[in-house]
Amino acid sequence: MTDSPRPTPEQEAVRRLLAESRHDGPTPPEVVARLDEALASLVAQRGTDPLVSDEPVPAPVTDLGARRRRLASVGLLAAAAVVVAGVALGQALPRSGDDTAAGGDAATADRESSLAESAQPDADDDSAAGSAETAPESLKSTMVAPDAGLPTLSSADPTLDQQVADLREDVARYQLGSTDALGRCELPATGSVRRLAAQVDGQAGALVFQRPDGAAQQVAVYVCGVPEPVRTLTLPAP
Amino acid sequence: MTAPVSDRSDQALLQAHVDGDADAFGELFARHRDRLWAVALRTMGNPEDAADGLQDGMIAAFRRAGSYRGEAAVTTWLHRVVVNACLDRIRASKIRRLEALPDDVEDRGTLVATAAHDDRPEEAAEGTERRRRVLAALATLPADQRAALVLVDMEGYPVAEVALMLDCAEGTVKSRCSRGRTRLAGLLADLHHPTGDPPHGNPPPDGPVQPTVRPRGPPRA
Repeated sequence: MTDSPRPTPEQEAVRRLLAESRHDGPTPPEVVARLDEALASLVAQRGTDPLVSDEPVPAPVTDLGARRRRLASVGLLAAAAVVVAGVALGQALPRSGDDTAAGGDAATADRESSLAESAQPDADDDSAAGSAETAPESLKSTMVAPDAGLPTLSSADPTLDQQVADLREDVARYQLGSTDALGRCELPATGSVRRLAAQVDGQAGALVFQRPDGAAQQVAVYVCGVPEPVRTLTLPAP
Repeated sequence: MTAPVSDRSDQALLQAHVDGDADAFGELFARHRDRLWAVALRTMGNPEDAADGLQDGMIAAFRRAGSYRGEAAVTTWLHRVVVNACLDRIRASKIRRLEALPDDVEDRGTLVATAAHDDRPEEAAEGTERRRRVLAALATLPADQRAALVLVDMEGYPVAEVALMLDCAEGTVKSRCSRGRTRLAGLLADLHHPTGDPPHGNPPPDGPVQPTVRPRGPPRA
């Protein structure tokens, strides 16, 4: 990557606008409280033992965009190789020969290209990934069991309102496991709300707490990957 | 995070945490929390997602403190972990930041800035609207470009340090910033060329950049 050219006056104007839009305020108290709760949970889990890394060889940070581009390139090359191999074998083999031979070779080439593709993510040739420090994404797979400790709910449960209200009051207890699980949960864009992962009807799901509106708060119960909520609740505002 | 503040260095606190000091990480994180929050807020675009990203980053840093090699400042490492956590979250959930911008412009930074102009309400309103426009335009950029602009142009970190935070080459940071600024320049053309105040004469082609009202740069310890 080469250096960019000297900034234009327009770009300098944008820099000024961005600088003026910098956030200068302190962390909101509710966020501090939430971080404190999460940190207290981490400290309690760990005790006073020295930190032991459960990942002896930390994975380097990888530019996912670059990885996608590499994979796309490898995929194209593999597809091209399959076509070339197929054409070449078709030319080399006698016309009266067994067609399945060419097909078999092509299939082998396809398998090999698939192997090459699947191996690609491990062969990190990205110059940007020289550091051995670990990215959070690569850490998530080694964190606690995916849905361990998450609340279990049934959308048909007549007491669901009360259960969800109780969860809202005790959300910090589930916060750590929830953070990991929500990262894997496909949810519709819900704007600025609070989410909590849960087991819903035996599947991975989430509770989406809308901002309180007057004396009420809407809570939608989702199953991950399903765009519509399986249940919508109205709770008294906290 | 409410542990008494000590005069231990960042590195000493991180090492103490690795060695089992239960209070060290909280003290370290609290020391840099506000700047990390600012970065998370501007990268994610709204307070709720920023809180999620910041918490993800804090958990990752807590658990992986042993992977810190001392090749960069601890604050650089913390920024890197938090920014990566935010970018991971954006990529994973494809957050629609534009939908949440009304919440963002009401964040505390805006209120603080507005309060400073209580005696000039028109100026305050213009500033709020300008900030809303800038944040809305910023939210349309790819996450990598947005993160680079937040760190370089908003927070004022040197390109070399941002390259460490984003784990890429300095040239990549410059390129992302340049592409992002070019796109923002198009989206915000009316803000840097106000219609009611046309420029007088031709501006110097490479004139010096006028200083901003607020000094930019990383927070001083």
